[in-house]
Amino acid sequence: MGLFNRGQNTLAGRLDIVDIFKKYSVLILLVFFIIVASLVSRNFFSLSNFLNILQSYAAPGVIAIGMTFTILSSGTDLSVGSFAALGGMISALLLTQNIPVWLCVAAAMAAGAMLGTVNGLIITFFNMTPFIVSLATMVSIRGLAMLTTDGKVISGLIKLGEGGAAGTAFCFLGGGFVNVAGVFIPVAGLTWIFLTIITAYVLRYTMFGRGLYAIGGNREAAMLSGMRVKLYSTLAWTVSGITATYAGVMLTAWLTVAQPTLAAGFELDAIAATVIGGTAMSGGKGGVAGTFAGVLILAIITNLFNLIGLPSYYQQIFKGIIIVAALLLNQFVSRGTD
Amino acid sequence: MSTETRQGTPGLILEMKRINKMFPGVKALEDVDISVNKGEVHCLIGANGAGKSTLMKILSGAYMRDSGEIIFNGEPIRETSPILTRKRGISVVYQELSLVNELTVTENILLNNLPGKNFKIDWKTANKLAGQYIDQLGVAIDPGAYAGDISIGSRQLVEIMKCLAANSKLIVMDEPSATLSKDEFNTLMRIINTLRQQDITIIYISHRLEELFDIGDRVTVLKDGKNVITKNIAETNMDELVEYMIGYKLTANSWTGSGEKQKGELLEARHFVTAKLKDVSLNLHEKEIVGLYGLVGSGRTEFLRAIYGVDKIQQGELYVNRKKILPQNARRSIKNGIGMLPENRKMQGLVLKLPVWHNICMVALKRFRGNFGLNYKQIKEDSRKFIDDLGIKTPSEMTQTVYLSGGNQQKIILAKWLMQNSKILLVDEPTQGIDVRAKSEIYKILKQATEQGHGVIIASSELEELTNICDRIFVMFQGRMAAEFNKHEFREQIILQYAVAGR
Repeated sequence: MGLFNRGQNTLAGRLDIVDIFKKYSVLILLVFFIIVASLVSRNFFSLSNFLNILQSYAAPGVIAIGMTFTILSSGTDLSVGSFAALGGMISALLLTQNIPVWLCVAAAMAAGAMLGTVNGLIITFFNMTPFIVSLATMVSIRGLAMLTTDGKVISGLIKLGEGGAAGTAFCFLGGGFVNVAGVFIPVAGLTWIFLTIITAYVLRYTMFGRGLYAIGGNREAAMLSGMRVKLYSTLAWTVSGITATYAGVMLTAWLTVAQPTLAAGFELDAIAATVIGGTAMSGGKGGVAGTFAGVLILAIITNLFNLIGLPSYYQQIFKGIIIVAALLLNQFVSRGTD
Repeated sequence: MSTETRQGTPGLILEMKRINKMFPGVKALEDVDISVNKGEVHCLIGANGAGKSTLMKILSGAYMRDSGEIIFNGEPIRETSPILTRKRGISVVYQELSLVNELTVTENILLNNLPGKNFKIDWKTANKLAGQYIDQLGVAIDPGAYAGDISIGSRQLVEIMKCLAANSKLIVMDEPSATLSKDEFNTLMRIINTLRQQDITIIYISHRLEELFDIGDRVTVLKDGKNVITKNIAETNMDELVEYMIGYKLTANSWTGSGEKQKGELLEARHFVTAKLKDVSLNLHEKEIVGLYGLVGSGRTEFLRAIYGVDKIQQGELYVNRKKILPQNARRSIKNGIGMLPENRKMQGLVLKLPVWHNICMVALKRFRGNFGLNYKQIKEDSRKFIDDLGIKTPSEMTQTVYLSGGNQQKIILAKWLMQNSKILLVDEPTQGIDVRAKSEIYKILKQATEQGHGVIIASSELEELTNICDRIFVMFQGRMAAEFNKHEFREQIILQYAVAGR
């Protein structure tokens, strides 16, 4: 039957070029912001500034990784900020009880996994709107984080343990550096990059990853094709719970202070970064590389404002405007796809 | 009836003359005439593909006519659009009702012109107005109830009140009785009578011929996009109408159920009962193509979905390879070797956002798992093989599925199940909206699949396609199995007769 030669269709051939442009639109946007920032501020384009960005945006970046999972499955996780706070509180509290560092971190992540799964189960099995469910858990889990210490902060984490050994090891996770050929690279930044690579692999090379695209793209077609719709949708929320609590651990370790008000409002930055990164709010389209770039774009905007000394209220105004502009550009580029 | 004035014929509210409509490869309407008297209930009947819906869509402005004349209320109509049509006083009540469930009955009735002034809605007047329409029909519906909370029958009545509120002179009802209970149907009949007394004209489309004798004044029969006849209901009978619809003399048939069960059965569904199915059975052998024919709403799709396990059955047994299995869900059915090509390929069959390879490998994806995750080299190789084998016209396997034509999209769904090697293929309306050439290619692919041992059940409203390709044809009528035919018994008029009259 091979009557039809592939590539014969000229219209579709042109669409391929558009596809390529669409595929790299986030990267183009990122390069654009790097160039603008370099032109505006002489201090921007330097290794130390890049490392600074890597350190400061590691935790929001890791949260956005989890957000990419839920948004791909056509949900939005508003509870990530509260998860981060809970993760920080649990790990710090256990650390004060002389529990080994690895166990403190594991316990925080286990709590994130468990509560994230609860989020997912409520959403998939009762067919509830993800936005509302995670809004509710956002409130409850923030309360839970407060409850751990009755709202108090735990400070001086770095001094914990014998001669501060345990505290130092813990804080290394969020504020430490690794010497790579004379360059001190932040551990948190490396974690962010490492998790992004792992996620890129999971999304592309596993049934779970591909299933998320199918489910987010068309839930009914995925179900009729025998995809594990409920399992995968739930798992997306489990992952988001884990990444958010670990981000909380990193933030707490960086600050050396555990505070139950940590990461309030981070969910909005994570959503913005994911969507700027090209992941569709309706699901089924996008990826974690875009999210990485999206976080960087947000980081560069803030970084640039700081470098030029823009007062913080103006920063907020312009940041909002730039986010909308970036999304408009995204939409313009991908118009005609859906 | 043909006084050729520009103002139309007195006494007529609607005249459609020599209406023509081409779809790619199909002549949907050929010189169709219909003239409707003021204040009558004019029935419009015909088998699948006769052109009823197309004609009504041209009237409502949803489709543009290629040629022909429409005169409504003495005025020739040139430009049409759904909004213009409604303004002129023509409303259509579709089978899928269009009420907003979250709004009250009052709000739904007056949706487009709620009374009020200074940006404030006058609820007192609104409720009074709605109450008037409810009284006009003489029914008991609470104007303050939410549309989502009232019964389907009541919702339909609200839909009719909406037409009254829009000041409609002509109301088209498309299969209004399909989802109604006996009581609700009686209410509908009473209301149609009331409307007729109020000089409102109704075009009534239905597959259930017995209803026409309860309610209709005249009937127009279409067949294959052409006029057959217009008659007074009082001067005809059911058998005659069936004959007009099928184009042949009625023959006395008596189907007594499928005879001896043959051996080597791939699939057997016994006595399936659901809300829409009344004790239907069917069997499928290896290398066989079985057709499932019936008018729209006869239960074909429901039967396939029940076999596939996505609609639950109340009673019935399913055997695959003579082993009893429970139809539970898609995953289980796939494991048992069943695949389904759903009725709506864009909404149910494909993930349009994803590339072609992803849709082709959607079901069989597990097979490509290697030591380091999915093996993309193999995925691309196998996808390309199916693209070539089935003649799927696409620039590459990476192209987004949404860019492909309907025929190629359908082939991708076929490829999905062939890659999974599902032995039993349940195929629902595989050629709907697909051009003639792709149609024949799709049937060729199905034929080849049966040569490799697959068994295929095709539900379709295109009888000619079924008689060409099938080994046997089952005919469904109002949720039950009306007849079964073997290849040597295929006679279109008899099959059509069973589909239309159930006997």
